[in-house]
Amino acid sequence: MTLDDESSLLRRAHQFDPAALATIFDTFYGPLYRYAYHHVGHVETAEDLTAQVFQRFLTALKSGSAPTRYLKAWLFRVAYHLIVDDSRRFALRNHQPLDIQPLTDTALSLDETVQNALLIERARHLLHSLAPQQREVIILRFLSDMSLEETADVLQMTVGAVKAMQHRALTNLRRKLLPEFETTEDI
Amino acid sequence: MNENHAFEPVEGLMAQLNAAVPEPQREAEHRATFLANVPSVRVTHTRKARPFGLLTAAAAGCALILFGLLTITRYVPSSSLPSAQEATHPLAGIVPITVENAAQIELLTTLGRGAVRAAEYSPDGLTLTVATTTGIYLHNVANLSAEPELLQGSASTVSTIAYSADGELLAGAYSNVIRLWDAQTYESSGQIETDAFEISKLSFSADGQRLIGVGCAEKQGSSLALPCDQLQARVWDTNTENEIRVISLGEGYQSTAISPDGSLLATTDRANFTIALYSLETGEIVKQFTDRDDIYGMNFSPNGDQLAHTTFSQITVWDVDDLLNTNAQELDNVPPTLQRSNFLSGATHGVVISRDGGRLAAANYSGKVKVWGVAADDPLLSIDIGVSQVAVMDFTPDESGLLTITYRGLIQQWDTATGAEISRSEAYGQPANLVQIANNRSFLTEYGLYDGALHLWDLNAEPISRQILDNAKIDLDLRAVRTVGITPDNAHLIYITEFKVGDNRRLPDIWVHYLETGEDRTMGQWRSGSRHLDPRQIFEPENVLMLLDMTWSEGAFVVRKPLLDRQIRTKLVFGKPNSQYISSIAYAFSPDAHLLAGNVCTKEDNSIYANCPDGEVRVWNTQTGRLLTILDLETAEDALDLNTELAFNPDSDILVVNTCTEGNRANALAIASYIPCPKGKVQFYDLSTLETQSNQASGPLVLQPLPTKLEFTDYRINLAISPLSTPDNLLIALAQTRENTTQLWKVDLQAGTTDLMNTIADTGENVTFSPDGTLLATSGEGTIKLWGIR
Repeated sequence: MTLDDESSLLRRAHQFDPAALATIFDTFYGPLYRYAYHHVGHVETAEDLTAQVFQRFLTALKSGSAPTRYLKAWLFRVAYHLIVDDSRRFALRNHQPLDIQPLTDTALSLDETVQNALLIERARHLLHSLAPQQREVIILRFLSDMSLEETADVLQMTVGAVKAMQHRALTNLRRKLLPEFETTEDI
Repeated sequence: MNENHAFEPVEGLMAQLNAAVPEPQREAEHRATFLANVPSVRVTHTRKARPFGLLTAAAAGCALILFGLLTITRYVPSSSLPSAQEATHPLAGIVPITVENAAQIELLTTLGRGAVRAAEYSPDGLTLTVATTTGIYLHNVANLSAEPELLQGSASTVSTIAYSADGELLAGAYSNVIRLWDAQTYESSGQIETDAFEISKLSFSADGQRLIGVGCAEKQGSSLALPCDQLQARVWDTNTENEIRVISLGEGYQSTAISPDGSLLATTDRANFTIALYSLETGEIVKQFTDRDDIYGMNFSPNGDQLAHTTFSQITVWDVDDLLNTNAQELDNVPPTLQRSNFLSGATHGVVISRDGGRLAAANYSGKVKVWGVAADDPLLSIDIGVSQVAVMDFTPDESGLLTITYRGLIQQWDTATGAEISRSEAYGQPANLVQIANNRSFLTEYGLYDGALHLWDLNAEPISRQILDNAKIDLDLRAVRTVGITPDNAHLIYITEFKVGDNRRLPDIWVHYLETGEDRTMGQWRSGSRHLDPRQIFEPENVLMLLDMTWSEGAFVVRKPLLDRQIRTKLVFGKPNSQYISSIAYAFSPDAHLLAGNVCTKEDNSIYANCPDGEVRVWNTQTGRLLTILDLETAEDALDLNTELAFNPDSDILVVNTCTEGNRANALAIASYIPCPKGKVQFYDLSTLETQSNQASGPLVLQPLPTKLEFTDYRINLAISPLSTPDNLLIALAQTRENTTQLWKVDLQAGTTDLMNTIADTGENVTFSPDGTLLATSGEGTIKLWGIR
């Protein structure tokens, strides 16, 4: 969706045009759900958070505080805050278990399926081993296809800070993915 | 550090993550709900009008009547919580602190009511008044556990307080002024300017016409532990607020006591064991005796007839008239009213006598209190406070109870007949030694050095609330939390307590606190070779705990990785420069846990307190134990390398070294006690190519600092680097104990420039950023201040 499309949709959304609102829902539900899932790792929670984003959007439209441009960044910013609030509510509990996907791909052998599951688990583990802000940048930039500017808008940081955070996150991921440092004799 | 990396492996990782997202199950349901809630008619946005009129006028009238009642009614602090008000959470709407906006940083909230300095019952016995590092608080004695009220106009550090005997005035001593309040209404009643005079004792004369203050007029630093260079007693006229008399009492550590009628001042000189009685009317010494031991605590009885003092192993009570009338020169030759040896195990530092003169209570440094009848041989009561040393002690006004307030800020009233606790309040804190904020910014931890307790602040609660984690399983004489860490998943706190076994040996214990259940479990004792353990910890991203220990017996740093099942998974020994001595001041893990930087003393020194004749900063790989580099500190020949602070940037590729560049070696111990050094500097070392260069070199590299540096005319005691610092632009917070400030600096390593972004006053012992970079926490004097940008 181009910015012009987005602005046009938003104008109609402000007038509570059902078709425009349905388009907005259909366009952004999937990306917002995936964004939430990467954080919470739980289908139902991710879906609930996504639904809440749209509720907030509707409330904002009714109160006149909805955005008039940059809808995508606005929706993701709301999602980001909802996710942070959700994690705070659960901060003093253990993390909820990640959803275990059923081993349904019959084209793969059991070994391959298990291997895939382990790879995915390792990938999630690596992502969540990053510092929160670094993880956020990675999820927005590479898993939610946000531009640097959009990411900066969501996180309310400068583009430079996002770049630096991205650089740091990628370096850390690379370090974790590559073999350990070589061992030489002690001094 | 500007090296471009290839990220192909990361792309594969992203593909795996995207493929792993299951399809949503309830999209259609949510879509239907969303569209069903869309209004069919366009909503008009109107602003609600504020109600104003008769109702508001009536409320204002009621307020005036209430105000009038308050001003004519004797004041008693409220016994219930103040009425709830709509309040915005202090951390709501904050944004990350960056070099671009750091100049706009503001105080968001202050956590805690400060460290207790003194407490007094009001003469009518209705109010317990507590002086702390943040102000004067009024407790309703009838409901001690209720929230205390801050006395209006008292909010800053108070060193001590005093009520006049007639109950008309309350005085509070501040750094440059003594403030006076009407003790009936608690309204301001004037003030006495004192210049720089650190008052430790304050008392009114019997008629309330004179105010006497004993304190320090000259000292080489702000620490309370430092000796005074010029101890004085000053007397003021409370009507004219003029200074009437100044009595010079010498220097050093002294115990002092003022008689309740304000006529006598008793002092002891620890250097030559003398005890002197001064007339506060004339300023002359009226009697002077020599004693045989160091006096820890001294007090007059409330009726002024008796003087009690404690030495390490003995407590003695004299009749004041006997002291004044004897011709003896030595205390041994004055028959005491009461003398008890081994009153309490260890040094007894506080003693009080009941108002009727019949009972005496004393406290030792281990939190134990005993109550005696002055005429009796056996103790009437033993109380084990247990959690901390007693800072304030007094008999309750009705004589039925004993008040104790610990340095940790726990107030307790005890029944002196049964020893049962009557009431308590956990209203205060003690100076926070370390502050850490969880990765998700949901809570903050701090610990007090001598109370064996962790304080856990719930930053999401409204208002932000404190939980004290006091591990009751530890039942030994002395304990202290030495370090605390939060696991990256925010699920556990790891902390290490140090405690005494027997007379000397101290063994640390490693504890895990489960935040979900509140359970504490020990991981077992850490049998290192170190007597004085000050471990540092860090978690690898996989929640693996790394602990750094300095084993003086081995003369080395040791890194251990303990697991919850009590096994030591890894032990790596680093740097054995001389097998004699290593610095205990500076060491740091890099945020990625791959590097360890430590300050190592390279020449033998027999005294751990003297200094380091020649020290250097070394950096090791924590996975292999390999020494990678030795930093060139560029310090002057006589520099105090011992007194160095180390910190890594968030990328783990810049090491920041804060050193004192000039100093007096003989003063090393004093400097460790926070006397600022005359000149200091912060230098930056680029570690981005360290591994590569080190692999190519035959030995450890000698690394030169980058040209950019921060130079100071006094020593910065604590340093934190914002996690949002970019590889070239660092945002650094430097806490300065002497000036009690924290400065925010932008350091541009590419341009070679440093810019002062902001100076925050009234804070400055420990400083840290939250992992998300939105909060700056500073701590000191029993409070934590949270700073940020809205």
